[in-house]
Amino acid sequence: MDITLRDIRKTFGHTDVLRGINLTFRSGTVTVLLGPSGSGKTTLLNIVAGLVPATGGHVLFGGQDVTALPVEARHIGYVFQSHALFPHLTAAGNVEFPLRVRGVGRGERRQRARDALAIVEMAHLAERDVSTLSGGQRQRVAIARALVANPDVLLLDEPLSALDPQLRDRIREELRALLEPLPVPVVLVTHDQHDAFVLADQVVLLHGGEVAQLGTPQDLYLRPANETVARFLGIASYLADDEGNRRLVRPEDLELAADDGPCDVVLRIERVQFLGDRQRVTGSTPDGDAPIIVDVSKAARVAAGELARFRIRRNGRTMPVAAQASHLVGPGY
Amino acid sequence: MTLTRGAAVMLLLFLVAAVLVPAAQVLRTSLTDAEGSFTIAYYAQVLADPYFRSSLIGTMVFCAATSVAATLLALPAGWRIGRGGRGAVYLRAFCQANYAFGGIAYGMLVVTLIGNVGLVPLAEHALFGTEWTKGVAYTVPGLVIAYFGFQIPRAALLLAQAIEKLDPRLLDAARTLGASPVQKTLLVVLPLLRGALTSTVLSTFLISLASFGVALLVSRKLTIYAVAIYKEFMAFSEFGSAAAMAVILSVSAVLAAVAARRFAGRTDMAGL
Repeated sequence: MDITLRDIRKTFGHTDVLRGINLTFRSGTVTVLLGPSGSGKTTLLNIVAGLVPATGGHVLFGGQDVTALPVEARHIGYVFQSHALFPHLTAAGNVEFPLRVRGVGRGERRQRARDALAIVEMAHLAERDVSTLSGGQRQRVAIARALVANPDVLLLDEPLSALDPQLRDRIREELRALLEPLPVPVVLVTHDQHDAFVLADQVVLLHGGEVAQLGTPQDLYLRPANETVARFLGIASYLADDEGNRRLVRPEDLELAADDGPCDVVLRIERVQFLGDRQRVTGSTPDGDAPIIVDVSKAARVAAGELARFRIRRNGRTMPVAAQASHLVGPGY
Repeated sequence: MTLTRGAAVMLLLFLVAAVLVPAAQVLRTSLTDAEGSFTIAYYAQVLADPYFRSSLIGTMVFCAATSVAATLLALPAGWRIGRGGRGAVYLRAFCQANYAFGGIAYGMLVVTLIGNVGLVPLAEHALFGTEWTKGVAYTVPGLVIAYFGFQIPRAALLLAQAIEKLDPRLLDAARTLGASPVQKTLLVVLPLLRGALTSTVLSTFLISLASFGVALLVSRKLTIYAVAIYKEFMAFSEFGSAAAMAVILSVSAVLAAVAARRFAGRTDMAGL
């Protein structure tokens, strides 16, 4: 069952939070709503859930208009940022909850809760008080609880933001493995591009209450629709070529040129940061003012104040935006 | 530091002068006969007397029952005050004003409304020619209404404190999991408020036990124990018996509080 949003608008007071969103979330697809704070991504998720009413537009579940349906009648699974597990129930009690409210018998709901906890590898902690579980364990219980009643859509609000960085990397992989085989639309909100790239089949980048770009993670990173998208998805510098096209370069797109070899751009190095596995160089072209950021190997000899010669890697992208003064040098420099 | 220590000493002196000394004096009076000798005769007398015994039991049962009912009836008001919304500010102000009224004011309100010449009986007589509501204030239902008058607003404020602390995401979670409003209340809200409900019932019960003004004005069918103590002391000058009854009432209140705490168990997710 696909989820379709038609011209969704939301206004808080005099502020337009969402301005006519049209999207489709397909079954078996993980869609990540990505965007900075205030972009409207959580509001949009809550409108799909029914927790927040839309000011205008329609939400359709498989063609059925559910805009006026209360949240409890929409048959959704929702994983909250804080997990929102019921503290008076055990892990199994939490997972049984959606079955209990649907009138499923005790024996069947116990079995189904056990099965759901087994999928998230939490069956051995079924009778534990949820307050004694770690952040990652609580998240898995929350996912099992959201899935146990076979919802029509699974919604996740910043599911990784409460986790510490090391745990986050591991849980991100686990979450991907859990979400991948689900036969329902999965919609996940995050402000973290790494989460989006690892988890998403499709990314919706929201900015200022509008869809700035929709596409695969590769589309957004390699072919950003505009400078806002490019900058949100990582460090983005721009070089202009002889034809006046602006070329987007990521830090990994430039490499130091051999002393006697050709080069594409010369930078005056302004700052060098040691990042452990690499060095990040900030520099500018001799006639340019916009800083260019490049990652070089940790062993490369670079120092502030020097000129350095770089080549653009073969996978460098061209992003034709407004023409600017040329900073690219000819191949024979 | 000196100021804190000075304040502590003052507080201790006040506690000794205002509470411990009078309490010790009441205890001494209850255990001393006319000749000044130690005795437990007053306790034996009031505990053996069917009138006093039934008054004590009746008062405990009445206060417990009305406290439980008032706490449940106060839930919607407590919810509105705690969660906010239209009228929440006025509701809170009304409930807070309740503290200024005092029990005797509620007794007077009930008499004015449903006493022998209250507004309701007069209206009933004028409209229908009947007298069903005449003197209801002096019956047990009238006493219940009068007690509810001060119990419900206080219970609502106590519950509101706990409801303010309830995590709204838990309520949203219940809804996303398919719980109807009734299921959300029964399966999430009430269990989470269990500690607060117990505390509220207990506080209301203790306030009700000590409430004197309401019962003095409207209680005819049921002898509230505090009123019985008052009569022993003021009307009959039976100081020993009155003192023994006061001690028995205090001990009963403490025992009831301990029992309620044990009954509440360990769950106190949103306790006061």
